[in-house]
Amino acid sequence: MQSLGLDKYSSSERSRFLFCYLMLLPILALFFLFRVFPIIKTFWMSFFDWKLVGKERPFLGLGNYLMLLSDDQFLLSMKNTFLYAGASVIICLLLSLPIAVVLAKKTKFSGFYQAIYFLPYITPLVPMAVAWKWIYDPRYGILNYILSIFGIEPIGWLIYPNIAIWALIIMNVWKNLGYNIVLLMVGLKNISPMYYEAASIDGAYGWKCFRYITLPLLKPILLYVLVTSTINAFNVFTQVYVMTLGSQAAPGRAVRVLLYDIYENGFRYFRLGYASAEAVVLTIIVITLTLIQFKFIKSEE
Amino acid sequence: MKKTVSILTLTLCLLVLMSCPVFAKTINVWTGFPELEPFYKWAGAEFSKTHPEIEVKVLSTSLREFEQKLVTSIPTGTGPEVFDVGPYIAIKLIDADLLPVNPPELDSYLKSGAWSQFAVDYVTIKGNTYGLPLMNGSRAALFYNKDMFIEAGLDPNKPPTNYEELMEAAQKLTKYDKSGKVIRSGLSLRISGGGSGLTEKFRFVLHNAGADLIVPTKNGKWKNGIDNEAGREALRYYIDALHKYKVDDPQVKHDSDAFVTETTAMFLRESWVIGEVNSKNPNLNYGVAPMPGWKRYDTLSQPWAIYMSMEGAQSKEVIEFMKFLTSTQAAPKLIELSGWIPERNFDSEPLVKEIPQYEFFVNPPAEIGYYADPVIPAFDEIQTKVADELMEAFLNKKLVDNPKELDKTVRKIAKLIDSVLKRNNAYGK
Repeated sequence: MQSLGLDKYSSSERSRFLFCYLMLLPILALFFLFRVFPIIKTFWMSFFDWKLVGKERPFLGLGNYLMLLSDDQFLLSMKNTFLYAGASVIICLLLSLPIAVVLAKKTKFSGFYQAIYFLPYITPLVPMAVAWKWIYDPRYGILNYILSIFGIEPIGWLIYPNIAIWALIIMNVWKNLGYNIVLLMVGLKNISPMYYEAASIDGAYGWKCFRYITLPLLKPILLYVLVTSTINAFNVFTQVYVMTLGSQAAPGRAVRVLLYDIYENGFRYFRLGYASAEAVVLTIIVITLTLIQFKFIKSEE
Repeated sequence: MKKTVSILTLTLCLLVLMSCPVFAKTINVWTGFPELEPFYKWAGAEFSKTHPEIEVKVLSTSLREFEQKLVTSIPTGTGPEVFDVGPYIAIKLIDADLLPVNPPELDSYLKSGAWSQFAVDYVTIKGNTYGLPLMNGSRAALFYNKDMFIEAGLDPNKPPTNYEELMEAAQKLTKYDKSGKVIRSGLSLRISGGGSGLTEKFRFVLHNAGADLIVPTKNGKWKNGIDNEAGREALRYYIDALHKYKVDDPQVKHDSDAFVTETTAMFLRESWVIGEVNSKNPNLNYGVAPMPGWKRYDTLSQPWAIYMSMEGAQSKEVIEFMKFLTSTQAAPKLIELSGWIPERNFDSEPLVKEIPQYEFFVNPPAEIGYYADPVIPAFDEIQTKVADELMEAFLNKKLVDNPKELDKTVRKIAKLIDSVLKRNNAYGK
């Protein structure tokens, strides 16, 4: 017991700790079983030619990873995922920040607008994607109808490869805007008015206040929003899956993202080893980006 | 009094229990075609009449979900006793020794003459037979709107017989708005949507043009069969239809939706469309003709079979149920309840009398040839990946009258096919 350093605690304290750990044990066990173990197993499987149905699972070493480098579909899905994630996160942040600043001031319909912006976030993804599929319909979609009022020709949103990925980005921005706004508003409301009062005495208003007071003090929330938005954007799947279903759906190639490629390799072609290698790459990318964001924000501090 | 009440209660409970059917055994049936569910349920109810100890439970989900569920449950022995599945999944299960060879009783039933030799050969792998062909999953035909034919000055009783005539008719049938945009396609082609379906429809043209996606090699392996003049002709046909003759447009409605709503004059599809038309637009005046020919006059004909699990094959009742599902009694019910055509021979006269459009599907002309998907595990992956390439090519206007670019596109597809075959150890020269 001495080696564990528990001798400084009384026996009642020790039994309290023991009780706490015992109570945590089932949750930790479940966490290990459903979170940690699958991650380790995925990592392990990525070194094998692991088929869902098959008698043999030969060891490939880094074979799956090397194959990824020459797989056009994987490289395309990487490109699409980076474009989707980058554009979604940046556009969403750039839009949500000014809206949050406006709504954070106690305006007349502030609460109403917050609710309106937040509604898409709580809408289930599948029906939402189906609805957007209709919105994007070139003939009967409401988006093209609105554009036609301004004399713009109908656009095949989900038909042409160079447009289809942007159609997904628009949908993602629409969905996540409200969530970002709410988080940023929390951050804005936590900034003490004292700073603004002091700034106004020194003659600083408007943009200067925003640049030198709001933005620096909002950094922890901005970091959180950036990290969670990036992780969410890299994990895009449902929208793509729904949008590519059916004979009048989006071109699979144009909207192929990493998770979709993983799904297809794993559960369509049953190449679990290969799909695992893709999943490991995705994990590494997300962790790296998160660390970069942390480092970037911290170094500025 | 108390005793009387107790006896009465006990008697009542016993009566209730006795009135409930007691099933000693359950046969689980899984399908990836939700439209087959009423048929399986009917079959289960009928089968239980002669086998009161049997309860048939049916589970249907979308095809892809079903396939995933099946391949994870069969290896662990938790799957259904009976299921229908495509050849690309069946062959994977057979390769892994997860599907039982037909017992002698089913084998002789299959070879009794109830099925064509084509269908029997299709479920014969390395000399053994597996499962029973239930329906024809892909036999396609030309659906055409007779009223639109009359309107365009075409004879509604003389539908196009080859792809050249098809394009000529399509040009006459297409309608444009003032700005020249297509508002009604003459021929609805499958040009978008993820998945293998797009390639399968492209093969309607490709095969009759004289090529195939993959062809067998002398050493029993496979290689791409598209990198040739016929492959280029087939792709050119699509490109010309979309960009040169403009008989279809990506922005108009497609597929059965378009046919039912009369926004296309013609399209190539399977028998289930008849059921769709009957339910959504019963007054539609349309005809069904054999697939147009080119160098070949063939039609895709894909037997879709039912199989037993290893556990199911041990049960006499499961074997009997398999036979019942493919019996002459069940065949008309399959069409009636699902719209799919039974693969086995049956008396189709009453059906054709009622719905003449079924004629081609149940009594195809003798001169028509058939082809089916090659039974290799990689074929679904090939079709799905080729679909992505084709979709991009179909939208590429630069391919019009540009043999060099067309050649480049076909070579790219060919390379993709060979790479998938190589990775699956199925490539040969």
